[in-house]
Amino acid sequence: MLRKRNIQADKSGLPEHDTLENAPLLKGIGKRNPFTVPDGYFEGLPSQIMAQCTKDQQHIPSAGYNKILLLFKPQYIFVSFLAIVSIALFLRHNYNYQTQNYQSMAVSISDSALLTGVQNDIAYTDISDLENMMANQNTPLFEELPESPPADSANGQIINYLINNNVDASDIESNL
Amino acid sequence: MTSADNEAENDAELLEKFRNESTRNFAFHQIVTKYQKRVYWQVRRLVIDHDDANDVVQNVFVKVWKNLHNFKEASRLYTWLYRIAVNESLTFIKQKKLHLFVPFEKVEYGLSRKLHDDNYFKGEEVEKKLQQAILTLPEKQRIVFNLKYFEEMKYEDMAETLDTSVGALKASYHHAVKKIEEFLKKN
Repeated sequence: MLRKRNIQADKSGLPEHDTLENAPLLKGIGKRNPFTVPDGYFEGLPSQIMAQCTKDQQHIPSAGYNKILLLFKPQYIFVSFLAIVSIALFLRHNYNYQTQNYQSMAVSISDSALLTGVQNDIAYTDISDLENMMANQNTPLFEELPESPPADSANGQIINYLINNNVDASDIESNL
Repeated sequence: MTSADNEAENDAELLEKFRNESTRNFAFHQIVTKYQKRVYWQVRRLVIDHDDANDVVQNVFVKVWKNLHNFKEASRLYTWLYRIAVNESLTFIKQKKLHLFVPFEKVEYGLSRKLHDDNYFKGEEVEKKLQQAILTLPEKQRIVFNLKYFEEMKYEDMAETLDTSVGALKASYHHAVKKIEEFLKKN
Protein backbone atom coordinates (compact mmCIF):
# COMPACT_ATOMS: atom_id res chain seq x y z
CA MET A 1 0.00 0.00 0.00
CA LEU A 2 1.23 3.45 -0.83
CA ARG A 3 2.13 5.59 2.16
CA LYS A 4 2.20 9.33 2.59
CA ARG A 5 5.62 10.83 2.02
CA ASN A 6 6.92 14.31 1.45
CA ILE A 7 7.37 15.07 -2.20
CA GLN A 8 11.03 15.96 -2.67
CA ALA A 9 12.82 17.62 -5.52
CA ASP A 10 14.31 15.50 -8.30
CA LYS A 11 17.86 14.48 -7.34
CA SER A 12 18.24 11.47 -9.62
CA GLY A 13 19.73 13.41 -12.54
CA LEU A 14 18.19 10.85 -14.93
CA PRO A 15 17.29 12.43 -18.27
CA GLU A 16 13.59 11.70 -18.86
CA HIS A 17 13.73 11.31 -22.65
CA ASP A 18 16.81 9.07 -22.84
CA THR A 19 15.09 6.21 -21.01
CA LEU A 20 13.13 5.00 -24.05
CA GLU A 21 16.04 5.71 -26.44
CA ASN A 22 17.89 2.83 -24.77
CA ALA A 23 14.90 0.47 -25.23
CA PRO A 24 14.36 0.00 -28.97
CA LEU A 25 12.19 -3.13 -28.62
CA LEU A 26 9.80 -1.42 -26.24
CA LYS A 27 9.72 1.69 -28.40
CA GLY A 28 8.89 -0.47 -31.42
CA ILE A 29 5.80 -1.99 -29.76
CA GLY A 30 4.17 1.39 -29.28
CA LYS A 31 1.50 2.49 -26.82
CA ARG A 32 -1.67 1.09 -28.37
CA ASN A 33 -4.13 -0.19 -25.77
CA PRO A 34 -4.57 -3.95 -26.35
CA PHE A 35 -7.43 -4.31 -23.87
CA THR A 36 -11.10 -3.93 -24.82
CA VAL A 37 -14.41 -3.75 -22.95
CA PRO A 38 -17.90 -5.14 -23.73
CA ASP A 39 -19.97 -3.01 -26.11
CA GLY A 40 -21.68 -0.09 -24.39
CA TYR A 41 -19.81 -0.67 -21.15
CA PHE A 42 -18.86 2.95 -20.50
CA GLU A 43 -22.36 4.18 -21.42
CA GLY A 44 -23.91 2.09 -18.63
CA LEU A 45 -21.21 2.39 -15.97
CA PRO A 46 -22.16 5.81 -14.50
CA SER A 47 -25.77 4.66 -13.90
CA GLN A 48 -24.54 1.43 -12.27
CA ILE A 49 -22.24 3.38 -9.99
CA MET A 50 -24.92 5.92 -9.11
CA ALA A 51 -27.33 3.11 -8.23
CA GLN A 52 -24.74 1.54 -5.94
CA CYS A 53 -23.87 4.86 -4.28
CA THR A 54 -27.48 5.78 -3.53
CA LYS A 55 -28.19 2.23 -2.31
CA ASP A 56 -25.22 2.45 0.07
CA GLN A 57 -26.46 5.84 1.24
CA GLN A 58 -29.83 4.31 2.24
CA HIS A 59 -28.26 1.42 4.16
CA ILE A 60 -25.41 2.95 6.11
CA PRO A 61 -24.89 0.52 8.99
CA SER A 62 -24.16 1.87 12.48
CA ALA A 63 -20.71 1.63 14.04
CA GLY A 64 -21.98 -0.91 16.59
CA TYR A 65 -23.40 -3.08 13.82
CA ASN A 66 -20.03 -2.94 12.06
CA LYS A 67 -18.25 -4.05 15.26
CA ILE A 68 -20.60 -7.03 15.57
CA LEU A 69 -19.99 -7.94 11.93
CA LEU A 70 -16.25 -7.79 12.56
CA LEU A 71 -16.64 -10.64 15.07
CA PHE A 72 -17.89 -12.86 12.26
CA LYS A 73 -14.81 -12.46 10.07
CA PRO A 74 -13.75 -15.87 8.73
CA GLN A 75 -10.36 -15.73 10.46
CA TYR A 76 -11.98 -15.06 13.86
CA ILE A 77 -14.39 -17.95 13.33
CA PHE A 78 -11.47 -20.20 12.41
CA VAL A 79 -9.43 -19.19 15.49
CA SER A 80 -12.46 -19.64 17.79
CA PHE A 81 -13.07 -23.10 16.32
CA LEU A 82 -9.41 -24.07 16.91
CA ALA A 83 -9.59 -22.82 20.51
CA ILE A 84 -12.77 -24.83 21.23
CA VAL A 85 -11.31 -28.00 19.68
CA SER A 86 -8.06 -27.55 21.68
CA ILE A 87 -9.95 -27.13 24.98
CA ALA A 88 -12.14 -30.16 24.20
CA LEU A 89 -9.08 -32.30 23.41
CA PHE A 90 -7.31 -31.12 26.58
CA LEU A 91 -10.32 -31.97 28.79
CA ARG A 92 -10.75 -35.38 27.14
CA HIS A 93 -7.07 -36.16 27.59
CA ASN A 94 -7.27 -35.18 31.32
CA TYR A 95 -10.37 -37.35 31.87
CA ASN A 96 -8.72 -40.36 30.20
CA TYR A 97 -5.54 -39.86 32.25
CA GLN A 98 -7.48 -39.81 35.58
CA THR A 99 -9.57 -42.87 34.65
CA GLN A 100 -6.43 -44.77 33.70
CA ASN A 101 -4.86 -43.77 37.06
CA TYR A 102 -7.78 -45.17 39.08
CA GLN A 103 -7.81 -48.34 37.03
CA SER A 104 -4.08 -48.90 37.44
CA MET A 105 -4.38 -48.25 41.22
CA ALA A 106 -7.20 -50.79 41.49
CA VAL A 107 -5.17 -53.39 39.61
CA SER A 108 -2.09 -52.82 41.78
CA ILE A 109 -3.97 -53.45 45.15
CA SER A 110 -3.92 -57.12 46.16
CA ASP A 111 -7.05 -59.00 47.31
CA SER A 112 -5.66 -59.47 50.84
CA ALA A 113 -5.03 -55.73 51.22
CA LEU A 114 -8.58 -55.03 50.12
CA LEU A 115 -9.92 -57.55 52.67
CA THR A 116 -7.89 -55.98 55.51
CA GLY A 117 -9.22 -52.57 54.55
CA VAL A 118 -12.81 -53.78 54.64
CA GLN A 119 -12.30 -55.48 58.05
CA ASN A 120 -10.83 -52.29 59.45
CA ASP A 121 -13.86 -50.37 58.30
CA ILE A 122 -16.14 -52.91 59.96
CA ALA A 123 -14.09 -52.72 63.18
CA TYR A 124 -14.65 -48.98 63.29
CA THR A 125 -18.39 -49.45 63.22
CA ASP A 126 -18.53 -52.40 65.69
CA ILE A 127 -21.57 -51.82 67.94
CA SER A 128 -19.97 -53.56 70.96
CA ASP A 129 -17.39 -50.73 71.16
CA LEU A 130 -20.18 -48.24 71.29
CA GLU A 131 -22.02 -50.17 74.04
CA ASN A 132 -18.88 -50.37 76.19
CA MET A 133 -18.34 -46.66 75.86
CA MET A 134 -21.88 -45.89 77.00
CA ALA A 135 -21.66 -48.33 79.95
CA ASN A 136 -18.50 -46.59 81.25
CA GLN A 137 -20.34 -43.29 81.33
CA ASN A 138 -23.40 -44.84 83.15
CA THR A 139 -25.61 -43.80 80.37
CA PRO A 140 -28.20 -46.17 79.02
CA LEU A 141 -27.85 -46.89 75.40
CA PHE A 142 -31.56 -46.24 74.88
CA GLU A 143 -33.24 -43.99 77.45
CA GLU A 144 -36.34 -45.70 78.84
CA LEU A 145 -39.50 -43.70 78.54
CA PRO A 146 -41.56 -43.30 81.81
CA GLU A 147 -44.80 -45.16 81.82
CA SER A 148 -47.82 -42.87 81.71
CA PRO A 149 -49.92 -43.23 84.87
CA PRO A 150 -53.54 -44.31 84.64
CA ALA A 151 -56.10 -41.51 84.86
CA ASP A 152 -57.52 -42.64 88.30
CA SER A 153 -54.12 -42.76 90.00
CA ALA A 154 -53.40 -39.25 88.76
CA ASN A 155 -56.45 -37.86 90.52
CA GLY A 156 -55.45 -39.77 93.72
CA GLN A 157 -51.96 -38.27 93.61
CA ILE A 158 -53.42 -34.75 93.33
CA ILE A 159 -55.70 -35.34 96.32
CA ASN A 160 -52.79 -36.77 98.36
CA TYR A 161 -50.69 -33.70 97.50
CA LEU A 162 -53.46 -31.32 98.61
CA ILE A 163 -53.94 -33.20 101.94
CA ASN A 164 -50.21 -33.44 102.70
CA ASN A 165 -49.67 -29.73 102.10
CA ASN A 166 -52.88 -28.47 103.78
CA VAL A 167 -54.19 -26.84 100.64
CA ASP A 168 -57.83 -25.92 100.59
CA ALA A 169 -59.46 -26.70 97.27
CA SER A 170 -62.06 -23.89 97.76
CA ASP A 171 -59.18 -21.36 97.98
CA ILE A 172 -57.94 -22.51 94.61
CA GLU A 173 -61.42 -22.26 93.07
CA SER A 174 -61.97 -18.68 94.45
CA ASN A 175 -58.56 -17.61 93.10
CA LEU A 176 -59.46 -18.98 89.68
CA MET B 1 -5.30 29.19 -19.96
CA THR B 2 -4.00 25.58 -20.31
CA SER B 3 -6.16 22.48 -20.56
CA ALA B 4 -5.04 21.50 -17.05
CA ASP B 5 -6.29 24.85 -15.73
CA ASN B 6 -9.58 24.39 -17.58
CA GLU B 7 -9.93 20.96 -16.11
CA ALA B 8 -9.20 22.24 -12.59
CA GLU B 9 -11.77 25.03 -13.02
CA ASN B 10 -14.34 22.54 -14.27
CA ASP B 11 -13.59 20.23 -11.33
CA ALA B 12 -14.02 23.10 -8.90
CA GLU B 13 -17.47 23.77 -10.35
CA LEU B 14 -18.41 20.10 -10.10
CA LEU B 15 -17.22 19.97 -6.49
CA GLU B 16 -19.26 23.05 -5.68
CA LYS B 17 -22.33 21.39 -7.15
CA PHE B 18 -21.55 18.18 -5.25
CA ARG B 19 -21.56 20.09 -1.96
CA ASN B 20 -25.04 21.35 -2.74
CA GLU B 21 -27.59 18.73 -1.68
CA SER B 22 -29.96 19.46 -4.57
CA THR B 23 -27.29 19.07 -7.30
CA ARG B 24 -25.15 16.38 -5.64
CA ASN B 25 -26.30 13.39 -7.71
CA PHE B 26 -26.04 15.31 -10.96
CA ALA B 27 -22.52 16.54 -10.13
CA PHE B 28 -21.33 13.09 -9.15
CA HIS B 29 -22.76 11.59 -12.32
CA GLN B 30 -20.73 14.19 -14.24
CA ILE B 31 -17.56 13.33 -12.32
CA VAL B 32 -17.99 9.60 -13.00
CA THR B 33 -18.67 10.22 -16.69
CA LYS B 34 -15.61 12.45 -16.94
CA TYR B 35 -13.10 10.18 -15.20
CA GLN B 36 -14.48 6.64 -15.64
CA LYS B 37 -12.32 5.73 -18.63
CA ARG B 38 -9.05 6.99 -17.16
CA VAL B 39 -9.76 5.24 -13.85
CA TYR B 40 -10.91 2.06 -15.59
CA TRP B 41 -7.82 1.73 -17.79
CA GLN B 42 -5.50 2.41 -14.88
CA VAL B 43 -7.20 -0.33 -12.86
CA ARG B 44 -7.47 -2.72 -15.80
CA ARG B 45 -3.71 -2.59 -16.47
CA LEU B 46 -3.10 -3.62 -12.87
CA VAL B 47 -5.74 -6.33 -12.42
CA ILE B 48 -5.84 -7.43 -16.13
CA ASP B 49 -9.29 -9.08 -16.07
CA HIS B 50 -12.31 -7.00 -17.17
CA ASP B 51 -14.72 -8.35 -14.53
CA ASP B 52 -12.19 -7.71 -11.76
CA ALA B 53 -11.54 -4.22 -13.14
CA ASN B 54 -15.28 -3.54 -13.21
CA ASP B 55 -15.60 -4.52 -9.52
CA VAL B 56 -12.61 -2.40 -8.51
CA VAL B 57 -13.78 0.64 -10.49
CA GLN B 58 -17.20 0.50 -8.83
CA ASN B 59 -15.53 0.26 -5.41
CA VAL B 60 -13.33 3.24 -6.30
CA PHE B 61 -16.27 5.46 -7.18
CA VAL B 62 -18.33 4.33 -4.16
CA LYS B 63 -15.35 5.31 -2.00
CA VAL B 64 -15.12 8.64 -3.83
CA TRP B 65 -18.84 9.23 -3.23
CA LYS B 66 -18.43 8.60 0.49
CA ASN B 67 -15.31 10.74 0.90
CA LEU B 68 -15.65 13.53 -1.63
CA HIS B 69 -17.13 15.89 0.97
CA ASN B 70 -13.77 15.58 2.83
CA PHE B 71 -11.70 16.38 -0.28
CA LYS B 72 -9.76 19.57 0.55
CA GLU B 73 -8.67 20.46 -3.00
CA ALA B 74 -5.04 20.61 -1.83
CA SER B 75 -4.40 18.17 -4.67
CA ARG B 76 -6.14 17.91 -8.01
CA LEU B 77 -9.26 15.78 -8.24
CA TYR B 78 -7.88 13.40 -10.84
CA THR B 79 -4.64 12.72 -8.89
CA TRP B 80 -6.79 12.00 -5.83
CA LEU B 81 -8.96 9.65 -7.93
CA TYR B 82 -5.86 7.91 -9.30
CA ARG B 83 -4.51 7.39 -5.82
CA ILE B 84 -7.75 5.72 -4.71
CA ALA B 85 -7.76 3.63 -7.89
CA VAL B 86 -4.17 2.44 -7.36
CA ASN B 87 -4.78 1.61 -3.69
CA GLU B 88 -8.02 -0.23 -4.45
CA SER B 89 -6.30 -2.24 -7.19
CA LEU B 90 -3.44 -3.23 -4.89
CA THR B 91 -5.89 -4.14 -2.12
CA PHE B 92 -7.82 -6.28 -4.59
CA ILE B 93 -4.67 -8.16 -5.69
CA LYS B 94 -3.60 -8.68 -2.06
CA GLN B 95 -7.05 -10.00 -1.12
CA LYS B 96 -6.86 -12.40 -4.02
CA LYS B 97 -3.51 -13.60 -2.75
CA LEU B 98 -4.95 -14.09 0.78
CA HIS B 99 -8.08 -15.89 -0.42
CA LEU B 100 -6.15 -18.26 -2.64
CA PHE B 101 -3.31 -18.74 -0.09
CA VAL B 102 -0.73 -18.24 -2.83
CA PRO B 103 2.39 -16.05 -2.91
CA PHE B 104 2.21 -12.72 -4.73
CA GLU B 105 4.36 -14.00 -7.64
CA LYS B 106 1.82 -16.75 -8.32
CA VAL B 107 -0.95 -14.16 -8.56
CA GLU B 108 1.12 -12.30 -11.15
CA TYR B 109 1.62 -15.59 -12.98
CA GLY B 110 -2.14 -16.17 -12.85
CA LEU B 111 -2.76 -12.69 -14.28
CA SER B 112 -0.25 -13.42 -17.02
CA ARG B 113 -2.11 -16.65 -17.86
CA LYS B 114 -5.39 -14.72 -17.98
CA LEU B 115 -4.09 -12.74 -20.92
CA HIS B 116 -4.28 -15.93 -23.01
CA ASP B 117 -7.92 -16.62 -22.16
CA ASP B 118 -9.20 -13.06 -21.92
CA ASN B 119 -11.95 -12.35 -24.47
CA TYR B 120 -11.34 -8.66 -24.01
CA PHE B 121 -7.68 -8.70 -24.94
CA LYS B 122 -7.28 -7.97 -28.62
CA GLY B 123 -3.57 -7.24 -28.70
CA GLU B 124 -1.01 -8.80 -30.99
CA GLU B 125 1.50 -11.36 -29.72
CA VAL B 126 4.14 -8.70 -29.11
CA GLU B 127 1.66 -6.61 -27.08
CA LYS B 128 0.86 -9.69 -24.99
CA LYS B 129 4.60 -10.10 -24.38
CA LEU B 130 4.78 -6.49 -23.24
CA GLN B 131 1.93 -7.04 -20.74
CA GLN B 132 3.65 -10.20 -19.48
CA ALA B 133 6.89 -8.24 -19.09
CA ILE B 134 5.05 -5.55 -17.08
CA LEU B 135 3.62 -8.26 -14.80
CA THR B 136 7.17 -9.38 -13.90
CA LEU B 137 7.93 -5.93 -12.43
CA PRO B 138 7.73 -5.14 -8.71
CA GLU B 139 4.42 -3.56 -7.70
CA LYS B 140 5.67 0.04 -7.46
CA GLN B 141 7.60 -0.07 -10.75
CA ARG B 142 4.55 -1.54 -12.48
CA ILE B 143 2.36 1.35 -11.33
CA VAL B 144 4.97 3.95 -12.31
CA PHE B 145 5.52 2.35 -15.72
CA ASN B 146 1.80 2.21 -16.51
CA LEU B 147 1.21 5.82 -15.46
CA LYS B 148 4.21 7.13 -17.38
CA TYR B 149 4.25 4.94 -20.47
CA PHE B 150 0.53 4.55 -21.24
CA GLU B 151 -1.04 7.52 -19.43
CA GLU B 152 1.91 9.83 -20.15
CA MET B 153 1.40 11.38 -16.75
CA LYS B 154 3.87 14.08 -15.70
CA TYR B 155 6.30 13.11 -12.96
CA GLU B 156 5.05 16.01 -10.83
CA ASP B 157 1.45 14.73 -11.03
CA MET B 158 2.64 11.21 -10.41
CA ALA B 159 4.53 12.41 -7.33
CA GLU B 160 1.29 13.95 -6.07
CA THR B 161 -0.66 10.77 -6.80
CA LEU B 162 1.82 8.32 -5.27
CA ASP B 163 3.33 10.58 -2.58
CA THR B 164 6.83 9.85 -3.82
CA SER B 165 9.66 12.12 -4.88
CA VAL B 166 10.10 12.91 -8.58
CA GLY B 167 13.66 11.50 -8.43
CA ALA B 168 12.47 8.19 -7.02
CA LEU B 169 9.78 7.98 -9.71
CA LYS B 170 12.29 8.64 -12.51
CA ALA B 171 14.59 5.96 -11.12
CA SER B 172 11.66 3.51 -10.87
CA TYR B 173 10.64 4.19 -14.47
CA HIS B 174 14.24 3.86 -15.69
CA HIS B 175 14.64 0.44 -13.99
CA ALA B 176 11.24 -0.70 -15.23
CA VAL B 177 12.05 0.15 -18.86
CA LYS B 178 15.40 -1.63 -18.55
CA LYS B 179 13.81 -4.80 -17.15
CA ILE B 180 11.08 -4.83 -19.79
CA GLU B 181 13.63 -4.42 -22.58
CA GLU B 182 15.63 -7.36 -21.19
CA PHE B 183 12.46 -9.50 -20.94
CA LEU B 184 11.56 -8.70 -24.56
CA LYS B 185 15.08 -9.57 -25.71
CA LYS B 186 14.94 -12.96 -23.94
CA ASN B 187 11.42 -13.79 -25.16
